[in-house]
Amino acid sequence: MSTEKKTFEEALSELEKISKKLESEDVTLENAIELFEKGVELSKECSNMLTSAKQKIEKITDMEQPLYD
Amino acid sequence: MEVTTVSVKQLNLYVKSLIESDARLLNVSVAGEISNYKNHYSSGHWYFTLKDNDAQIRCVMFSTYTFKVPFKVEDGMRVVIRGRVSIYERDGQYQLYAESMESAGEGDLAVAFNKLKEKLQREGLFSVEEKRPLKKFPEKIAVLTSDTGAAVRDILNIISNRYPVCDILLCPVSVQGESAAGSMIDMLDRVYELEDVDTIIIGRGGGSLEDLWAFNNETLARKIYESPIPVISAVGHETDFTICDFVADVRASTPSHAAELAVPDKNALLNTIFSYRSSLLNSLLLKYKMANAKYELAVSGTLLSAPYKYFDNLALKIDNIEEKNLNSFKNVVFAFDKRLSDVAARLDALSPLKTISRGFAAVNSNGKPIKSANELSVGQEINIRLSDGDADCKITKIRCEK
Repeated sequence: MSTEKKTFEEALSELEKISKKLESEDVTLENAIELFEKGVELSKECSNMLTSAKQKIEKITDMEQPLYD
Repeated sequence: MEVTTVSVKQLNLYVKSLIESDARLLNVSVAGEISNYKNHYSSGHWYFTLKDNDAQIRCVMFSTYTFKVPFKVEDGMRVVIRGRVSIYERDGQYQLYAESMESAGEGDLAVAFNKLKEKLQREGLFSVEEKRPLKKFPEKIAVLTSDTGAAVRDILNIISNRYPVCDILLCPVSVQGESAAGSMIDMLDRVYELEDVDTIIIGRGGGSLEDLWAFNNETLARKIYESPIPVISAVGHETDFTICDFVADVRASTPSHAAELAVPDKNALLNTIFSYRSSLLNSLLLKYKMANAKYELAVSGTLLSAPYKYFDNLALKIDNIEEKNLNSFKNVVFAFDKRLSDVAARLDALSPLKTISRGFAAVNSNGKPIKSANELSVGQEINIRLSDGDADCKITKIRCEK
């Protein structure tokens, strides 16, 4: 797992924050469009992570060498 | 002597008749420990093994007798059984047909179990304050179990289906027999060294009290208690409790249950994401509606009523929004945005305030606009509106040009 890539947890919590922010009244129309776009992008990112996740299965062996399925 | 060939059934029936002809076997009393106890769900017959240190015998107690047993039967219980010995000819299985059962105190295993449980409990190893919550969105789970059992397959299947975001580290260990506890302790030591493991599942599928015994090992229990990573124990079935269950952060009733507890459900998460997306859309719609309402208020609704309706229709259309619709919706919103500002510019141009600001004034009488000098009379009170305020005046002289 690379460090630059967002984890699912991070992406989901960012989406939650943006959604809450857009709900609040003190957001200008211009700002709202920006938040909306960002939120939609994040929501896509989140669902993609769930639906196209490549799960890695490793096994600890006696040789201490991980096996990748 | 010539040997007559017989069927299996004939053979079994013959041995059965031999056994049943021995009067001593028709009424025996046997002491031992119950193991592998099963209460058949439909017939109500009990099936179990009676054992001591050196030997065991299969037993059955039919429901016509079981209801007379005054206590709850459990594995590890020490009992005295009275009954008869015979053969179940279908299986060629020699067994004890129990007719009555008396408790003879707890079995050795049960005594050892309770002793250890009390000891660790006193030391505070089971206390609720020591239990840590599981990571809600784990990225890697270590699974300590036999790599040949059904448990590992169940766990893998469920985690892959529910939350494929999470990686799995399989840690094959021996879960039964002499070396089992040591094997699990060694593996835990190795897993504790890893930095990227969020949750540990340790367990095995169902079995007899003896099969699960490794999970009642004191050293293993202490090793689990010391874990730097939250541990889910998943040993046997719902009714099986082991010492490991008490020291683990979370006890799962079965390995499958452990997998369900360890990761969130993909479908529930997709629903959550979808509801955030709808909420984003609704918030944006609301913002536009509010902006629109402000314009409407400003021009008493004549110029903008049409786009407002248009926008309402739009909201209906996208009620069931799909991802591919989001972009086209955005285009429509931007088009509408542009239209709003065009309209605003036109309004601005038409506004009397613009004219007034060039030095002209608007004249009203009793709230009605005065358009002609002919409408005025001497002594009439009027109101003059200027760009930055207004004044009440009285007419003193009128000069009509037409």
